[in-house]
Amino acid sequence: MKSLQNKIFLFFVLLLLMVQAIALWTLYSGNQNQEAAEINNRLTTAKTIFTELFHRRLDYLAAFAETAAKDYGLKEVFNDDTRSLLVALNNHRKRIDADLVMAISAEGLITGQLQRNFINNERSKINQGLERGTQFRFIDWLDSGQSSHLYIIDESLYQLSLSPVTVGTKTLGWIAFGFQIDERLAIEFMNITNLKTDFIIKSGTEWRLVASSSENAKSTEELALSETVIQGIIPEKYIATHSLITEFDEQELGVVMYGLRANFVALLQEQWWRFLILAALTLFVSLTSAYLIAASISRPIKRLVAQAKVIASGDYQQTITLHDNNEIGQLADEFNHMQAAVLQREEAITHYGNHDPLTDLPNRNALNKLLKSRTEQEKPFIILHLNLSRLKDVNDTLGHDVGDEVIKELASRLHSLYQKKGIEELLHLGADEFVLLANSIDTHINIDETVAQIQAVLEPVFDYQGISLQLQVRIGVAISPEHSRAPKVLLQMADTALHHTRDTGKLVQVYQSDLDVNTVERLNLINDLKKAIPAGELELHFQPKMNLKNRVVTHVEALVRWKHPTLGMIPPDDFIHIAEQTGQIKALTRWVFTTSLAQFNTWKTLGIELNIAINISAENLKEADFYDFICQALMCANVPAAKVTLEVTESSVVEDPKSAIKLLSQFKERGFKISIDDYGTGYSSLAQLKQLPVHELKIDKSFVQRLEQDIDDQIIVRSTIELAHNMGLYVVAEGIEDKFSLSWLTDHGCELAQGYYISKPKPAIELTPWLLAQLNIEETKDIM
Amino acid sequence: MNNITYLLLFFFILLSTKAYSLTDCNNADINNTCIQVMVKNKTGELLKDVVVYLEPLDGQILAKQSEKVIISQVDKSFAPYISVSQVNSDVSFANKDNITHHIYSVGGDNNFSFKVRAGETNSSPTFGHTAEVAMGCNIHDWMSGYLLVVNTPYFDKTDEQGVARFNITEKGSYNVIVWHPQMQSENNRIQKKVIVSASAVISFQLNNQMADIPLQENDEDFDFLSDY
Repeated sequence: MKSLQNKIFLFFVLLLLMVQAIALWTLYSGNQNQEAAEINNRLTTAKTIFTELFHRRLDYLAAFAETAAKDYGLKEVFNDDTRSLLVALNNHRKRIDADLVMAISAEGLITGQLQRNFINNERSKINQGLERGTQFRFIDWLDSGQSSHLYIIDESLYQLSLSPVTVGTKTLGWIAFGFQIDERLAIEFMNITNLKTDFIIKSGTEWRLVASSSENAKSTEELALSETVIQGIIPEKYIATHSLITEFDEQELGVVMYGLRANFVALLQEQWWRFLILAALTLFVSLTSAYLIAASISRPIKRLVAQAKVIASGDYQQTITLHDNNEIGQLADEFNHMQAAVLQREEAITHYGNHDPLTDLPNRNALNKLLKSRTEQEKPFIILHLNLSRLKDVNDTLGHDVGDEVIKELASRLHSLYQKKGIEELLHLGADEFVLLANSIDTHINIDETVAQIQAVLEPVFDYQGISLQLQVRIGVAISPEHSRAPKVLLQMADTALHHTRDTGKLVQVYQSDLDVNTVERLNLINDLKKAIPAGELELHFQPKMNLKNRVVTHVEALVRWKHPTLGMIPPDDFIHIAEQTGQIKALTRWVFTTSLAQFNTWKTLGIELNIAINISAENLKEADFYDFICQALMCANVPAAKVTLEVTESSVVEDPKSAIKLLSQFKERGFKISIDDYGTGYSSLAQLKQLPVHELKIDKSFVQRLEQDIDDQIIVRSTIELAHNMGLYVVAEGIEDKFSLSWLTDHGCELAQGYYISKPKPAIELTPWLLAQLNIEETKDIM
Repeated sequence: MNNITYLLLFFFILLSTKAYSLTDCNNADINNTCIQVMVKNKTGELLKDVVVYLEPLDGQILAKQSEKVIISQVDKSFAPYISVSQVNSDVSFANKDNITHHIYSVGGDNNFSFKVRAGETNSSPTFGHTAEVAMGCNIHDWMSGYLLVVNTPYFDKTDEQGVARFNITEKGSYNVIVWHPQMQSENNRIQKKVIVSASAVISFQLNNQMADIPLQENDEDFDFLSDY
């Protein structure tokens, strides 16, 4: 019911029905009015006609009576014998075909009377009247001026006119003529007016039917009907009018004219039927057209709706054609325009989605698609990830506008290589990052050639508004399928290689697996590390440091090991770095600290008392509450500070020497032992070393491991030991792996030694028996 | 009636009084008895042109009146309107108009009908009995006249003073009758019995209002034939 088509159709239907109803009602009421008016008209006319006819007859009679009364011939015989008088009367009567003629003497005696009597409907005969010789009943008529009257003789009713017969002024008598009011008149009247006519007369109190135009009518019924009409009550099925002719002598003649309503309205009814049929027909036709109109409106709309759906689904290619020239056709045109516009915009958006706004080169999205297709096609290719050097400097000093110009210049220069010499694709990943895809017939030659081309193209100085800028790029290279078949991984590798150039200062770096620091694994590790401490995945291993003089283990170094549930044992080199970079070193160090102190106490109960060395990172030194925590932990564990060594690397001090020194001094003040770890490998200065409040110096294992083979190492180690001693420090050598190193270091005065040769780092559980064994040997030595 | 008619009437009365002494009461004859009859209408006004006549009751022998009665048709009307004559007297109808009249009377014993041309006189009707003769003209419906035929020479019409005078020679009882067609009394008359012995004045007063004396005029007043 909600559809537009149905709505329009219904609306039309309702409208049409309403219009038709109004029209019909108007017609009907008009019809009714017309009917009533017609009937009224008819009746009024009939009444008027009757009145006229009636009075004309009377006037006629009166005029004739007057004329006849003046006739000398009549005057001569008026008082004569009956026969002459009757003949004279009849002569006059014939002239107007009167139904009654009378001669009345001056005394009021009816001297002559002639009446028409009907034998049957057609034939009549003139006979002497019944009243001849009798006194005229209405003497007062004779004296009055009025000459016209209604006169009854037995059952017959006459219109009568009197006129005096005079000699000069002397009245001889009267002469009267009459027309009968009977069926003839009624029928004559009916023929004129087409209404049935009844004459009824009332002399006294009751009405009597005198004549009726209806043949074979039951007089009682006619009389009854006429009486009611006279009283003004007209039965529904009739139309009627009446007229009363009153006599001053209290006779009343009533004329009733009536007809069946149905007869009169029959014609109008017929008309009415015709109207109805016409109305029905027009209604039908208009409804059909309404339906068609509704359909014709909604059909193109439906098509447009369908088209809209097609567009919504993303198909911009199909256009819609409507052959209407009207608004809907316009709408369809606009639809198509819109569609084209949408398509255009979509293409633009797609373009912008796949191209960099600044250089209009394909961007990262395009790159992903390209790589995907190439790897799917299994075509070998080379990715060169280019980074524009020092762009940040340009932006900062000359502004971003200039920076953008530089980028655009680089793009255009690289574009000159596009499609040449094996460079198949040029992409701009944004800002200072570009990617070239080259084919790889001969990988390494290609790389070198390509790089040379790039260098060549970038060599000319870029002159921008008087400023000379040199374009320089660093390139990270990855090869498919050699390095990987997966696009993402390839990109990652190129990226890693690029990063490596930053570290090494080289301009080109081809990916090697050992560059891989940033693996996904690494990211996972970061997350896992957060959970590792509470999960108990971390384990503290201890590596003993042996006193070379008496071959007694006096120190241990606490080393954290991570037992990853899936990856297994992860060496600290990997995750310490991560921990430092992700701010988890704090938690880590604290855990190490508390665990170590607990272990100290455990060993103490067993009679083992060792100094535990704990590694501290640069991050730890930056912590505000680090000192407080350490001391707190110490006090809680009730461990003397002298039994704890804090190992810091040279490089960790470098960042902020002043505060590092200050903190370390605090620790030293407190009684902790401070150790410089990995001495010789990091950034260091002797000036710094001089300032650091250290007790111990640890020579990195790289110098110790090949002590037997490497003379240079021996020189370095020996010098370092001497230097340390001169500065008042004692030395720990790391990485002793053979007996030679052990004895050589002992010979050269190294105080402590740490290495696999002595013991691997082991968990406390494992180390404790070894330690106990060592002590026993000592004890036995002492005993012995 | 126009002035000329009145004038003519006056002359005739003068003539008739000169010739006829029966109604002349100026004669101071000792044998004459002057009876004056005065007629008043219901409201007391004196009426003129009312017929008065005396009928002998005691068998008096009366001389016959010898004057001729002339009823004229003047200006399409009877002049005089009322005429009186004794039985068997000559009555003439004189047509003073320039057109023909058809005079008739019906409805009594004295029916007559004749045409009299312009300027001519017709004396054909005879009146042998006392009668009220109503006359009309068949051509001119409005014409109306009366002739009272009486059986006594003593008849007259009241004059302007409403008086009729009689010089009675035969003494005795008489019936004094006052008659007018418009009198509205029975038989159009009222009467009194009187014994005539000496001169007397007899008054009559009508009981009813008199009917209008008809104007003898054509109410249509057609004039398309001016010489008709």
